[in-house]
Order: sequence, then C-alpha cells, then structure tokens
Amino acid sequence: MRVSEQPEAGVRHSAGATAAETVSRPGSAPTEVVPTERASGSGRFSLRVVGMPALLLVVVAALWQYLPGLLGLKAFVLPPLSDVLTQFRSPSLANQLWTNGLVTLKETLLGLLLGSVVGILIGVLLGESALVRAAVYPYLVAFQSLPKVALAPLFVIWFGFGLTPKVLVAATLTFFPLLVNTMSGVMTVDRDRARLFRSMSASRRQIWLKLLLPSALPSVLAGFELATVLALLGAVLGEFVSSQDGLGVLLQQQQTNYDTAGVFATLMVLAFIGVTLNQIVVQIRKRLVYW
Amino acid sequence: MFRKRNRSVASRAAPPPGAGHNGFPQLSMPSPLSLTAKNVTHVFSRRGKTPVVALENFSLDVAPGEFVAVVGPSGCGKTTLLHTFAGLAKPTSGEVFVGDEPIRSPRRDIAVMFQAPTLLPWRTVLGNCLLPRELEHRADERDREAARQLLAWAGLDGFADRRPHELSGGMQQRVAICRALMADPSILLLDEPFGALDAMTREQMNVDLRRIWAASGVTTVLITHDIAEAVFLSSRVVVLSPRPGRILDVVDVPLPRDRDFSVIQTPEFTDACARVRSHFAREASYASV
Repeated sequence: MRVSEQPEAGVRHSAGATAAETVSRPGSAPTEVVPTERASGSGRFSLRVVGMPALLLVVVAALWQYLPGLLGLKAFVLPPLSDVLTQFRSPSLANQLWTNGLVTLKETLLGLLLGSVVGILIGVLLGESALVRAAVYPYLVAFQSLPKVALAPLFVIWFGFGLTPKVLVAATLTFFPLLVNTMSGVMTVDRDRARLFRSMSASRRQIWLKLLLPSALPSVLAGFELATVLALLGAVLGEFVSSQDGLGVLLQQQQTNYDTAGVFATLMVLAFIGVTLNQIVVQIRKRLVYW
Repeated sequence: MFRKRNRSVASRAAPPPGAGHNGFPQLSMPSPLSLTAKNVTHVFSRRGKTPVVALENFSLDVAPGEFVAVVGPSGCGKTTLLHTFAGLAKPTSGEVFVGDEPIRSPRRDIAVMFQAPTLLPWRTVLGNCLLPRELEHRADERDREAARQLLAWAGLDGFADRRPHELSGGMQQRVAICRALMADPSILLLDEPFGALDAMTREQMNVDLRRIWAASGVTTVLITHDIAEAVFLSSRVVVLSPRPGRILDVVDVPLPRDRDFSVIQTPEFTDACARVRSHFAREASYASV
C-alpha cells in the first residue's frame, strides 16, 4: 500500500515547492514512475516462447526423417528430411532458388507497396466521407468476395507475361485488409479525444494529422502484417498462372519432374521469405506503436 | 492529514524561478470572461422514439472569474450543458454567451476537461501539454518553457518526457489540467474531471484545482455529482433535477476564497452541503413513489 502510493506522495512534496526542498527529499525524487505491467517475469516466459517451439521442431524433424521409411513411403511421395536438406547443396538448385526467389520477392514487395498505398488512401477517403463510404463500400465488399486469382488471366491478357500481372495479383490481395483496417482505425477513434480536438477548434487537417492517423496506426500496421503474407501468396499464385521465372514456376517444373525433395526445398525458401517479411513488419509495429 | 500537508506546502512554497505571483507560472492568461446561459432547452429526438428532454429552460450567469459548480444525478443533462457551453452541442432553443458574444461553435479561449484525461498515448507528457499551442502555431521554445513551468508547478517535473501510460491516474489528470491551461483559457469547463480517481487522490486534486483557480482567476464551471466536491470548490452550487434537468436551487457557498481542507469542518460547509443534499432526498423519494 505504502509502496504503491509513493509516486503520488513524491509529487505532492514537490508540488509548488522550491528546488531546494525537492533535493532535500531524495526519497521522493520525482523521476519515480508507476511500475507498468510490461515488465513481467522473463525466465519462464522465454522458456515457453523459445523452448517449446524448439522442442516441437526437433520432434517434427525426427518424425519427418524416420517416419517415411517406417511407413514404407516412396521418396517421391514424402522424401525424408535429409533428402530435402541435401537439395540445398546442389549448386544448380541453390542458384535457381536464389534467382527465382529474388523475382518472387520483388513481385511480393512491389505488390505490397502498390496494394498498401492504394488501400490506405481509399481507407482514409472512406473514413473521411460517409457519403463516399455509402456509395463505394458495397462494391468493395463485392470485389472482396471475388477470388482474386481468377483475375490473373485478365491481367496476363492486359499486361503480358512480365512482372506486372503478378504484382497486380499481389496488390489486389493486400489492398483490402489495409483498406478495411485503415477505415476502421480512423472511424473507431476515441470519442472523447475527437471531442477534445473539436473543443480546441482544430482544423480538419490538424485532426487528421494529429489525431486520426496516429489513432489508426496500430490498426493499419495490423492490416499490413496480414497483407505481407497475402502479397507473397498473390505473387506465387500469379506465377502459377503464367510466368517464366519465380518460385511458383520453379515449383511447377519440380512438380512435372516428380522432384518432391526439390518442391520441399522451394517451399522452405518460401516459408523463410514469408516469416522474414512478417517479422520485419512485427518489429516495425513494435517500434512505432509503443503505447 | 490533507490539511496539514497542504498547509505546509502553502506556507513553505516559494515561487519557482520565473514564476508569477502565487507560484503560478506566468502564462499570458487573458482576463476572465463571463458565461451566460439564457433559457437553454435541449431535446434529443430520435426517429421512432419519444424525444428526451435533457435540459429545460436553463438560465445561469457566471461572473468573470467565478467558480460555479453544477450538481445533479446521472442523466440530468449536466454533460449536455457543458457541451453547450463548449460550443460542441447546439441547444434546441435558448442561447449561451461568452461576454456578449453568442457561442455557436468551439472557441480557443474555452478549455474543456473531460472525465477521462484523454491524453494522446503517442505523445510525451510535454507533447500533450503543447497540443493546444500547436493547433495555433508551430510550438517554439517559449511554449515548451511555459509547459515545463506549468508541469513543474503541478508537481510533474521530471515527467515531461514520459509517456502517459507510465503515469498514475491522478498524474494523468494533472497533465490534462496543464494542457487545458496551456490554451490560455478565459473559461475552464470541467466535466467530472476526477470522477475516475480514488477518494484520496480525488481530495488532493480538489485542493490543487482550487489552488489553480485561485492563482489563475479563470472563470470555471464544474460539473459533478459529488456534493462535497461541489461545495468545497465553488462559490455557487447550481442544483439540477433529474431528467428533464431543471434548476432546483442555487446555493451560495459562504466560504473564504483561500480554502484548504479544514473548511469541511466548518458549519458553513456542512450547511451548504445539507441544503444541496435536501433536494436530492426529496427527488429520490419522488422517484421511489
């Protein structure tokens, strides 16, 4: 009880007091802060966060290595883990994974960029104007219920076999989560804070810059986190439909050759790209949204 | 306990460097203005529902530099009244004035403090205080210095660069007071500002608020449902009836301008509280019939 009251007590003493008085009371230094809940016991926490997934990884790896042999599965159905891992030693495959991976990564990032910019802009527009929202939103929902891959053939007709159709498929997939999250982030702004800004006669522009956009930031970044995964999905799907290079094309070639170990190796690279992109966004989010 | 502590602070406190009289930081506080409500009626009508009369024929004159408290049970239109004074809500009929000017939209010289501190979590304590200035012009070193002095005066020196979530509820509400004062208000509107605080912190905040008012001389209207708080802080208490909100009584508080918590033991304080309370006792018995 006494301890929890200390910060308040410290404040009391220094309120309206001279600097000398504050100095003479070192126990009530005003730099004391109320302990927040963020500092939690880290010992058991790290065991659960790192230890348990690591254990599961070992178990799955062991099963993958020995189960196919025990069950008598053929290598082209489910190759043991060691077969998959040796794939990475082959210089030709490593080279193919590298060059195709870069292509897929480029499509993903460009699609993510395009989809996010358009999604955030339209989200802001819909958040701002109830009229535009009423007019446009039903069509956006209709568009969202359309399977985006089905648009890929159209994009190919329009833009050929290059980079553009894949970027567009990735962008159409990322666009919607960002739009919805931006819009809802803007619209669910704290009512008292909105009232505060109005009471201070803030202009529309000031309300956007100093209240709505910062308020929407957590929600926008959550949408962005989801969108990174979807952008990668969109890029690979676009490559399936028509392409000369990219990990999706590599997968199809490996499939034709019944190179199952190669397929797994490519999948691992895709998973690696997906996890890395996602983690980058998670870290950005933690840096920007510290409240 | 509060009385003793408060006295010791008051007697020993020398003004911090650069502070004005009474230890209050030198803000360019404009002269206080009067606040007037003339026959304000506020009806909320929603389609398909019977209209709700939140306020009925409310008239009040608040003199420049006066501290008036409005008490009433929940749902008597207190907050609606405050929003009307703040220019946030338009009355169905009647008008409100600052000085001689009718209030039709929010004004920069009317500062509002809400029940929650409503600080912006992404800004530092200092950044929150600077908000009203930033809405007018780019905040410069003078503004920052004024905010620092105000924070120090409110007992928050050393917290300027903290984030709001690192502060206790009482400290957050102090920051909100500082932010309101940074707008250099002629009129301060308070909507149950300490309602969410525990009783001990609340008493201390009341003493502080009274001190702020005495030092700044700003015209202040406080909305509350706490009778003792209303009487302790104000020079007049307006008693509102439950819905529709009508003025039942206006109680003058015959207490000295310089108050600390010792006044709660005086007969004047007890009498004023009793008179305010008598209205609610009667209203409550009506309600139960």
